[in-house]
Amino acid sequence: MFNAWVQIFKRDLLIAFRRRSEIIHPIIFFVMVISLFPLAIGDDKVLLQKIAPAIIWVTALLATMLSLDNLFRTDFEDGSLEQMTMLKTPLSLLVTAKIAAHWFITGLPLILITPLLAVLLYMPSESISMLLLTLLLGTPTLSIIGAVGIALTVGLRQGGVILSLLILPLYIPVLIFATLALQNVEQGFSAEAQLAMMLAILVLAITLSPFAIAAALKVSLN
Amino acid sequence: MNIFASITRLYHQFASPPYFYRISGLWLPYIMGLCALLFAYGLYSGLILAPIDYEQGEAYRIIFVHVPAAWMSMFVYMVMAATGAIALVWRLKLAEIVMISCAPIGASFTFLALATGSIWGKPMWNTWWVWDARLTSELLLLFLYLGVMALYNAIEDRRTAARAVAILALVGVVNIPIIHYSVEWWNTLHQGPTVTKFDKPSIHLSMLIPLLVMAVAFKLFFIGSLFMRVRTELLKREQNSKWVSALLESK
Amino acid sequence: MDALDFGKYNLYIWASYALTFIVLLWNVVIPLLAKNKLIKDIKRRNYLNSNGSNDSDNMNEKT
Repeated sequence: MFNAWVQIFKRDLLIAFRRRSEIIHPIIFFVMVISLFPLAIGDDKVLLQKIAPAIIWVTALLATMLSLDNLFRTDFEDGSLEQMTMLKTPLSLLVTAKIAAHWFITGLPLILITPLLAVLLYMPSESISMLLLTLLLGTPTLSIIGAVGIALTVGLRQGGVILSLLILPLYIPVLIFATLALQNVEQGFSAEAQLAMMLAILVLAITLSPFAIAAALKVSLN
Repeated sequence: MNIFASITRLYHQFASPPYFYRISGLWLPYIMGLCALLFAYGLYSGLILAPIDYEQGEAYRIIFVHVPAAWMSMFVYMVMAATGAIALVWRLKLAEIVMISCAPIGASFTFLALATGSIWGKPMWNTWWVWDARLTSELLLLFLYLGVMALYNAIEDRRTAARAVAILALVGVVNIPIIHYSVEWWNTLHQGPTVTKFDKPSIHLSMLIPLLVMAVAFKLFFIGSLFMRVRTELLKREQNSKWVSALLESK
Repeated sequence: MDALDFGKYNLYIWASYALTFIVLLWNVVIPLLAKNKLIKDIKRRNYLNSNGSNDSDNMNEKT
């Protein structure tokens, strides 16, 4: 059973590394959009420092949403997804492999490049470490919740537009807790409560979403 | 054995379109009639009989539409999610129709709750809006309803669409407890629970009665409006069947 | 009608109740209109099918 999981995980990583653009585009989007803000606001250090966590988090949301299409579309179109439903291993388990690979391809690079961008936005170093922590807890959640949305819309023509309408409301709690944590750290308080909530959301998402995703994929496939 | 047979028979009866159409048609005038009466009494006792509030003066009377609308926004979502679960498990066409008919009604109640809340907020707290936990999660509820309607309209086959929407509705159920408990878990501008807590409600009886009457009136209205939409949809999907033709002959 | 004068809160209260009325009305009118339109459409299509069809298997056709 776990052999299939590992196989699919490795396969997705391999495919992604062969098509580097899949990895690069969301990162470039992330960097460029974040750079737009200082350009639009002007070099106002105080203001930028204040809204930096929000900018980075919202852009991370958008970049993740953009990258979700890669998760199921190619497999959907060439029939591999149908093949996966027919394996002995339950589909709900296999989708976690795909999501894990997706996070490695999207979430992880985002986290790695964030310190550079945070410095460009004049964020202080304590905030940066909290930012990375929230991203570490949050981006897997974004990938998982996003997978629910893309599983529902992968068969649709105008899927991309509807995807944002479906997923952004579900992303909002993650965004709120992450930015609350960062605000607390800025004011010198502890962000334990918010981090605990983010962890709780992540655990809830990991345990319950795979069933929803598998069900949604089966609906999209027929 | 006998009771299982009769339960199964009832179950098949209820799920049968002509039966539902006929029974809902019989009940509908009474439901709407009672609803109108309760609205009349609720409005009278709320706007005229109920005394002026010590803190808020007359403005508190918005409560008699704001709170029932908010309660209904959550109740309708639960009905939608429950019938969605039924539709997923048993593939009942009637459940699918009921589920999707809930969405526009629930969205209008959510909109009404947000709008009346905003109108109430202006004279009371001098703000049309605040991004606290309850208002934000109620706004999220509106987005969930809109997402459900958008997804349903985007998928061509009605039965596939219903299944996809059922999954979406079930995923969004987590928002309902967040809305309900948001005023307990966080510091919000919105006031805390006064009616649904477990000890004695901290609201005066002369204000509680109109509130509950309006709440029941809203519920009846929901059922009535739901029946209307479901009946139309049943006619649409079964238009080529004998019972519909027979029905239309007599009109 | 002094009982219905709410002083400075008049506008807000009546706005809320008017909005409620509009929303409820919308939820009654729209389904009603949809149903009438549907019945009209079905009847029209049945009429067209039974009169316009040249199918010799059609039982309604008069010879």
